[in-house]
Amino acid sequence: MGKKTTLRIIVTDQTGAEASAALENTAALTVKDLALTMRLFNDSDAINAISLTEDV
Amino acid sequence: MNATRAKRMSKKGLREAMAKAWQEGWEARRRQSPGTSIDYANHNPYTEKSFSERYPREIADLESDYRCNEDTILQKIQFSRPPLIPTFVVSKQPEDIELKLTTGFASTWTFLPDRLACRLGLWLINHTEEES
Repeated sequence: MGKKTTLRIIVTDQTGAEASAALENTAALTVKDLALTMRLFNDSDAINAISLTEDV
Repeated sequence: MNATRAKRMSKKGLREAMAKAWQEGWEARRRQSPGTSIDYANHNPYTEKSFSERYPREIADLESDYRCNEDTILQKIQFSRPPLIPTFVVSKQPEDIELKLTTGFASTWTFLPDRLACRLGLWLINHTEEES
């Protein structure tokens, strides 16, 4: 068991609904991972939070 | 969702792949929200022309802001509202680099996913080495 890094992005869409995406990996996350995860959202979404956490 | 490392490819190949991924993402989004009327194909930021038309300031920023590469490890992300300036601390020897993604649209970070993805996406394209 090693550490796990989680990148989580939470947005509010045009209807006011909250949506989120989380990317988890036991390896380190990179700038490219951030870019790819961000692209899951619509350009009309407003970002509420971006977090990077590490669990051991 | 599993993180994967994409094979290093040429600038042209990466641009095409990102444009395709962007289009597929929008198509999936449109299927989820049938009422959506935006013609996403005309807003693909990974085509150079549309991006430069929509985000001239970002292109200028990209030239000076970014000092890492696509594989640079994220160490910390700070995102606060206000002042609505996300900060990404990434690792790069010999010391960490702090990236502040300031924007010409400082009054709001609404639409940020698109803009931030565009900024990062274009940066990746510009900083990906050509295949030898």
